[in-house]
Amino acid sequence: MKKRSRRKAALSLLILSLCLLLAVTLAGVLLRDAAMETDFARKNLPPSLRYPFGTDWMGRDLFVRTLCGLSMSIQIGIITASVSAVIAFLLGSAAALLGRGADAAVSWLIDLMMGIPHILLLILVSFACGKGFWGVVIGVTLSHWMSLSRVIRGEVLQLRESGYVQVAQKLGMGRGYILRRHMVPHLFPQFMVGLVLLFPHAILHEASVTFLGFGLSPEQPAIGVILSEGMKYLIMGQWWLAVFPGLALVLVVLLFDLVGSTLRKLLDPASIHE
Amino acid sequence: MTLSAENLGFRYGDGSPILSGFNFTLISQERVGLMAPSGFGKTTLCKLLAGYLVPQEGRILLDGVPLSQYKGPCPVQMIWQHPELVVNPRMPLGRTLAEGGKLDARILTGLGIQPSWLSRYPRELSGGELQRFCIARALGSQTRFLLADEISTMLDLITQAQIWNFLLAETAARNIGLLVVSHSPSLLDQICTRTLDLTKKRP
Amino acid sequence: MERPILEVEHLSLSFTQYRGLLGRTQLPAISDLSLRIHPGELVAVVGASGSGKSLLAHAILGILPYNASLTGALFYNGAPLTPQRQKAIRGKELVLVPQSVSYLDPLMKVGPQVRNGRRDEAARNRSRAVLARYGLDPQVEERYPFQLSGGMARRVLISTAVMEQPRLVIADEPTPGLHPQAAQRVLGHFRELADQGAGVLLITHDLELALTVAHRIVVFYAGTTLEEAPASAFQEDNTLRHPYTRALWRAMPQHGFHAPEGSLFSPQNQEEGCPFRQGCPEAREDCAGSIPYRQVEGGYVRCIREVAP
Repeated sequence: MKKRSRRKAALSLLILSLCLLLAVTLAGVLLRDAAMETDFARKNLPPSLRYPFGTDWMGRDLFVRTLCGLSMSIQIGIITASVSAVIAFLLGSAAALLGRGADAAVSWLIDLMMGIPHILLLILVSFACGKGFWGVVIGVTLSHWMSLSRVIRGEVLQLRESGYVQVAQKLGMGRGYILRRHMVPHLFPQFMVGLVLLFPHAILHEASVTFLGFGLSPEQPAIGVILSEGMKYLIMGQWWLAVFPGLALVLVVLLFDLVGSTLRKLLDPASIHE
Repeated sequence: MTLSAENLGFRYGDGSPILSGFNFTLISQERVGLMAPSGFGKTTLCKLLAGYLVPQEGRILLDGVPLSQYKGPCPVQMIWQHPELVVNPRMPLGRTLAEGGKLDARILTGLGIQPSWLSRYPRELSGGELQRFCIARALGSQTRFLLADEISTMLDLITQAQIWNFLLAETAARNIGLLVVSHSPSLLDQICTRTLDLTKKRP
Repeated sequence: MERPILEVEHLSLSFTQYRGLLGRTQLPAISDLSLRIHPGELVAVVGASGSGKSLLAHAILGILPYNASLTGALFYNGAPLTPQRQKAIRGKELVLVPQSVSYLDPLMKVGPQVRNGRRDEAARNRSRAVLARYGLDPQVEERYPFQLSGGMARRVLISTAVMEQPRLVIADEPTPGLHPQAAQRVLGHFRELADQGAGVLLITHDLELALTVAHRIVVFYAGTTLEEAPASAFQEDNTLRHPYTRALWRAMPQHGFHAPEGSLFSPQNQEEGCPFRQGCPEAREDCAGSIPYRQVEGGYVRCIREVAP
């Protein structure tokens, strides 16, 4: 009984988290205009039933603004993480399959980029691309592929040396067949888990870069913008301007992390029968 | 046909040579037994003869032509000792079997492979059952030589007898040369036309 | 006859596995296994590799995997073998010589492993003596497992097991892929332990080798025991009772390498009935029903036919 409910519980948790995140994303898209609505009659209100996160100095409903900002971060995060993961997959596989030269080149690139502190790298790339939306997107995409790429490279190398791949080659199976039938089905679960675990990183980094001023422009209701502007008002006692958006961001990131690790547990052959 | 190893030399990395100046010939009508304690290079020799390893010195020839020049399914097929290592755990066994090409139904019945097993995964079958698949897979139409590396060591006696009875009939009918690696002198006595003791050939 | 050091009564073991994402099934591994070992006896359980025999060893030691469920009774020296008792005597009176040399800790030198961590003078002397007994000189104590040859590693495993003078030794496939002479030597050590008074349970797939050192053989097939007979009964096939055991005897290379008639040979782990009935030349309808493991002269057999030696 315990074991069945553990696995079922894990799956239910996974689905619940996903639904929650989806709800946040959709809500943010729908409430885009409401987030920009200003009304000076209701400015600087502390949290209440009507305005759960309070309002800011321009009378904007912070709850709606936060939802919108989170939704943006989630969307950007997912897109950049996905592109990053695909880059990781391509480069990792290339390193393992295209010979010594390719392996050396890719490994050198990985070492180079991993040698730079992450946020610094992000800021540099974003700045070089002119900040704003594209700066942030390119920056996050180009700085998140390295670890997953190493994992993929390792897995592919191991697969290449495995008994069944070697036998398949000796039986005359071509490269395409081996890739399709032997390698991809094995790599796919690893890839999916790696992808999902990239989301929280991408989201948090996008928010950070925007907070530091190298990301999305200030008129957009991005979470980073909300937080950086809210900081100024902390001294004046309007704590809700920073605390709620901050907590919401942390919650979203944790939820994604939960989804990723639960997925890994469910797919991991070692604990698969738990 | 003739499978020969000419002046074979091989070592792993920087280790001491496992084989040096080794010569060996196997013709299609023969069944040669190979016996030696662990560490003498029996599996290494099989891997070299089947093309899984490339020797540092010497070469492997099939009818005078280097083995590496044969394209498509290799005419020299090796059956490994541990079947779990050479089947993809994520592929149904029917597909693994199909890698051997189009196989005669006679081979499947002769080896006792049940039709229901074709849709199963490796973890659902025992070692003995998996080994039957590996043997069937190695018996494609292009196979001219079979290297059996302790294939029945882990099997029970009855399965062993059934598999070998089938293999003897099959290799005789198709004129496939057989190299049998085993620890069991009684097994080699029953099966082989001659036996090679690797301890005598140690460098 | 002395009291048995180990009694296994009607042991059944199954695993919980997940099919697909959520569906659970029970996979039976052992059903209704019974045996007894007396001090001074070497009993060999013989069956195909991977057929679940190792699970017997793990069940006795109390080290089964997390998804295993067990029914039946285990008795050590007359008293029930509870998990607490298993924990208390494991490694001292009740030892396992495992199949793979990778059971040795690769990060620990041989000496401390054999001594099980103890550092006192008595332990050191004892470990040196035990290693010497198996032909290993004192320098071996300073080496790491990867620096040992396969044979030496195997002897270290045995040394570790016999350090504290065990009363029950379980050897799980101790001779995988060893050359006949090396295998003989290893098995000889176990027979020696039995001759000195310990009970030895030898789990193996090699009937030929088992016959050279065992007092009694238990034939294990498709998760259950089919016959138990003294080793002497294996000199002829007509002193063997169960049709499967006879088929086994006739399949041995030196006895003619006869494979039984009939295409298939793969037992399903059925809940009921004789697992050999599809290949048995004398199968009847009631072979599909439940068949008890009954005592006969000299041993046990699970067959409904009236078998006379």
